[in-house]
Amino acid sequence: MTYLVTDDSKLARLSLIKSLKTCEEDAEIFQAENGEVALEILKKEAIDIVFLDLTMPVMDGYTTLPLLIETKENIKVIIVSADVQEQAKLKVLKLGAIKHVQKPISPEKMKNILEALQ
Amino acid sequence: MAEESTQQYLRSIDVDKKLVSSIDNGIIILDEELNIFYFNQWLEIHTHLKKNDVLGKKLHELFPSINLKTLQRKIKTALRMGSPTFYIASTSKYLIPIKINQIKASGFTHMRQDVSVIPFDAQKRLAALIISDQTSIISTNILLELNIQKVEDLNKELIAEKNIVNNRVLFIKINHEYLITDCSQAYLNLVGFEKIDMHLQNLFTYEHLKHTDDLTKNIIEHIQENKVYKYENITLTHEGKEIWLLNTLVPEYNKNGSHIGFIIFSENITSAKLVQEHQQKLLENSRASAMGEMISMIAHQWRQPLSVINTIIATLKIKKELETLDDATQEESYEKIEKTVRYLSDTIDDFRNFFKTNKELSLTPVQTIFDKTTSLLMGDININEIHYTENIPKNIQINTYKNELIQSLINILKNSIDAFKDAPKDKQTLTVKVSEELTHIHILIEDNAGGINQETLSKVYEPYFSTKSKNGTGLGLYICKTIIEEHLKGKLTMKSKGIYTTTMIELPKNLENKKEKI
Amino acid sequence: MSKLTLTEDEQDALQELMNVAYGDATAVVAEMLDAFATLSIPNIRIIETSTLLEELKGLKGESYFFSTQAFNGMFSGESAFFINEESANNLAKHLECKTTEDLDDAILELTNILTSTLTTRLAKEMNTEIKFSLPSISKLPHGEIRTNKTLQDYTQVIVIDTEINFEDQKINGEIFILTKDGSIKWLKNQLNSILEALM
Repeated sequence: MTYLVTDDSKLARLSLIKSLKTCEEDAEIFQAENGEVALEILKKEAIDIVFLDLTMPVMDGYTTLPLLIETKENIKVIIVSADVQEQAKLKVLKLGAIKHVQKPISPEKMKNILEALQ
Repeated sequence: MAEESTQQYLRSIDVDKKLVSSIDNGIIILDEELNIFYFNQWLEIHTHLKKNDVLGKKLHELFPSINLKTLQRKIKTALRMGSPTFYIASTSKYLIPIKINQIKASGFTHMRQDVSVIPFDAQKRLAALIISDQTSIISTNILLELNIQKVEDLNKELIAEKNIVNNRVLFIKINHEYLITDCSQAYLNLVGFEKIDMHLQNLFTYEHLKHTDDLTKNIIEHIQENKVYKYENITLTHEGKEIWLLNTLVPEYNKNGSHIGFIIFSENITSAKLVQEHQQKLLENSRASAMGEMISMIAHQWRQPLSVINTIIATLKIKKELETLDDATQEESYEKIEKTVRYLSDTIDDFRNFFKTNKELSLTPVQTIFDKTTSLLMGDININEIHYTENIPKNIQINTYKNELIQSLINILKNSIDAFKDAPKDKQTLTVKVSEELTHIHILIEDNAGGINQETLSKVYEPYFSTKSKNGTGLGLYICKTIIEEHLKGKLTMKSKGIYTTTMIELPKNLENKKEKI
Repeated sequence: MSKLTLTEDEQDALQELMNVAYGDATAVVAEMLDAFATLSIPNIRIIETSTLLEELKGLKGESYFFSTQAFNGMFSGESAFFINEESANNLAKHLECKTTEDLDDAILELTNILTSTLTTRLAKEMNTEIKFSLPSISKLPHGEIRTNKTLQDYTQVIVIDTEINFEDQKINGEIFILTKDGSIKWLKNQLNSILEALM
């Protein structure tokens, strides 16, 4: 599977990628530090799943989410955020995300997420 | 060895239990509904409630003052976070009402408490309340705050006062080497310098402070003898203007009592000095003009006697020519000439004496004073047909500066004579009446020369004011008043009604006494 | 004393860890206070103590309330929470506080919650344990004395400041997390180890 990890924090990206690689060793992973870069990559590459952070500079998660779906209709977007209040969850699901997950994502949690997607 | 046996001992007993019962804190374990599961001995003692009476009961039912919602919220939060929440004494005062009976912590009826709400058991949803007595700390804090406020207020007052002094009092500070270490803002404003201009200048050699060698010596002497020194000095401002200062030099001590230098406090007496100088000049001017007048009076005085001598000499000459000169006529003539010459000489003496500066008091009968006065004026009085009368008791004496008094009286009488000259009348009277009291004598001089109107009367004492048509310098009455009031310590008043003008002079009989009073 | 700075990587890592910690904090606050809160992206800097004191002085001037709480461990420091009068009143309304004491207590609790969750989570991510002191409030100018004394022991501080916003209730405040010189060094080490473990 091809993944796109979008987060302004290098630590967050590395941490998520580590968990991902633990579950899927040969996964192809692209990185973006904000929504704008993510959109560009999505236009060029064949991405299956996007992990998207909410608080990013330039273009944040809330703005990026609908634009990603516009670009590729059946793209699967998982919101990864520190903010787990109910209202936040509902908001992103309404905007088209398939899941809202609290960071950091441990390898175990990642396993559950990927299995649920199958 | 001992260490091992102690550790063994501690293992055998329940250390925690023993500690918990002896610590100075209250401990309660309760659930989210505030049911009590544990209540330690400290609380038993302080609340007078037995453990068995409270276990299973709800905390807020035992202590109705507890806010149920707040406590429940804190317990819930602690359990949720896994870390403690708190009540602090400064805000919440206390959780468990415990009356205090210490005398020291007055002002509080109940113990002030800090409470930690600790998650005790997450599974069973139990929390522990650890209560500690903060009463003395809180009361100390309050005292501290009060004192801090007091200190701040005092400090503000002090700074304000210091500022007032700095802005209003003139002073310079010097160290033991006579170098200037500080000066007030008021002083800097007066002289127009900056602090750095004055800093570490030598007091005696700094050109603007103008210390003569003598003054320097005196100041140093006083400093060495640790005596306060009061002296006058001229200082130059930045622009070179002269300022008269009255200085007081005092030693300066710091808060430990160490002698750290000297302070010179100054008073600006420039204006007083200027007035003094001005008055001095006026006095000199008036003396000069009085002298001028005197000279013309003497010339006037001399005219007649000189003409008498001339006439006698002429007569002698003619008689000799006619060989009718006999011894008796000659004797008579010589006598008359001698008498006239004596009169001329006396006039000169009087004039000389009159202008000698009088530094000594002399006890004189008032009649004598008036005799001297009128001797110089009699000529004028007679020529102007003024009827002059005196009423002076023979026994009245006065101990004063004779010549200055005579000078003033001449001035006053002359004014009356001049007034008559300007507006002659049929009956012209000038009277002098003298009376005495216990300590003072009164002189009354009255003329009917036409009176003085109110407006003029109010200005008569002003220097340079004159109503005389010519030759009047106008200094007369101003100087008279100065002499009579300041030098002779008396009073001079004038009033006028109709054609009469009255001058009243009150003088102390004995200036000696008046002098000592200063 | 050489000035400490955070490298780009260290800054990034700390930012991310704070992000995670803030997630926790907002969740707890929302639950405890029953309100939806957002936290702004934390601003992380290392600055001189004197600069910080100036900033704090300014904030204190506009604030109704200023509360602090100290924490101890390998990672130790102090948090400071500022809230203005309007927000304090709104908080009072929302929590149905009847007296000033109730409000003060509520603000202390807010401070406590924020400090506890933030620093506990941060410490956890950095594999260490911390303990908390009682929070304290300063409404009086004399509060300055205490702060000044504590801060004078530091030459540099890491300042992590963020705004917490309860939009519906119109409550907002600013929270600072301050750590001392020794902790800054320790922090840098931990952050680097974490990054290395992931590379």
